[in-house]
Amino acid sequence: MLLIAVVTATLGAGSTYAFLNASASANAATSVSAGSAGFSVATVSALSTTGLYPGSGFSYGTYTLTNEGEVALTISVTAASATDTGGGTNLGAALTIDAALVPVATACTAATYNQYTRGGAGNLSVAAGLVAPNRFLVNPPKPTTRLCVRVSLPTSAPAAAAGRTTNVAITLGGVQV
Amino acid sequence: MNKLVKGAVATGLGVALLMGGAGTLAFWNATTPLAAASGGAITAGQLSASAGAAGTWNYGTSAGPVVNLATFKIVPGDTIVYTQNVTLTATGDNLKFSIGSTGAGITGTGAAANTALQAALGNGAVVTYTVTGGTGTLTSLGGGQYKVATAGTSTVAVTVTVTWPFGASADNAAQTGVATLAASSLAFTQIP
Repeated sequence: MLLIAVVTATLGAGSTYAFLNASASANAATSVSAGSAGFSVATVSALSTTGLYPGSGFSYGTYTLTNEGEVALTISVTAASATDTGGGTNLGAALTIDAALVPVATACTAATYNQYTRGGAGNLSVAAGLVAPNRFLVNPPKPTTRLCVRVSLPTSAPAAAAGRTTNVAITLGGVQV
Repeated sequence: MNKLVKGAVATGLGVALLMGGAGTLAFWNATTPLAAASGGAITAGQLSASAGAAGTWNYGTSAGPVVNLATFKIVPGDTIVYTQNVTLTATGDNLKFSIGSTGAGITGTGAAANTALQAALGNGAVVTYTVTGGTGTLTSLGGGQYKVATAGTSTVAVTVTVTWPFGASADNAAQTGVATLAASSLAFTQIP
């Protein structure tokens, strides 16, 4: 009879079974910084209400809007007021106030004012607005646009408006698009 | 006593002499080597991975403009994508493994804008991968699990995506915030 010896390998006491694993790095740690939304207004030629009289024509103000942030903005008039110096609204209430966003090279005397009128429909131009700077450049130029404001005193203005001075205030708002 | 009787008596005595005394009994044994194919070296499989060359951050998709995060300012509506290859070596006749990711959390601390940015970015980037093959081939088992079909190397393309969704209402809290994106890695783990 041929006897075949059977040998069984045994694990030492306290051993644990293993499995394979591996890993590889992807991105390294880094900072992520957020941009902002903002714009500034600079006066090129101030609006004046001096010497206005019914039917005298328009007085113009020219302003430069500059995008100070990283996003494109639609610009709108959030408030427009004309407050007479010394109280009252005889002159201020009678003024017509129009505004328009135009290319920087456009003279306000030649602009078309079909975007904003106090008390009317429309709120400047959604399409024009302020475009975003090129964020893929280091220190990119800040986009600009021109705000034209014109006021006039219609022939229907009351006599009480004569001799008065009014302060015109226009507040603009920008919303990311 | 006749001869036959004498012979038989003599044989019995001889046998008795052989078995008596102080000697030990013996047994027979024999050995035969097993076939050569049943022996030889035992080779273990392998599961290893190494990162490829450092990837790049791009805007929008992996094919978009290159972004330098040191100067880039992220805003609502932005997506930035990091891509890099990993080389996987997998050998083993019955080797199966899963692929997962670790890291890529986004943390903003200190100023309120920083914590707001962390929340705006979803508290972390999304890590995805694509196995694109190589000298080896893998069989997808679904659910991020694979089996080695052919031993060798495979390229795994990793993508890390950071997104700031464009919301339905204005929220300026995260403007100028700064957050930290943690490092990420792919993990390959053998499964039974």
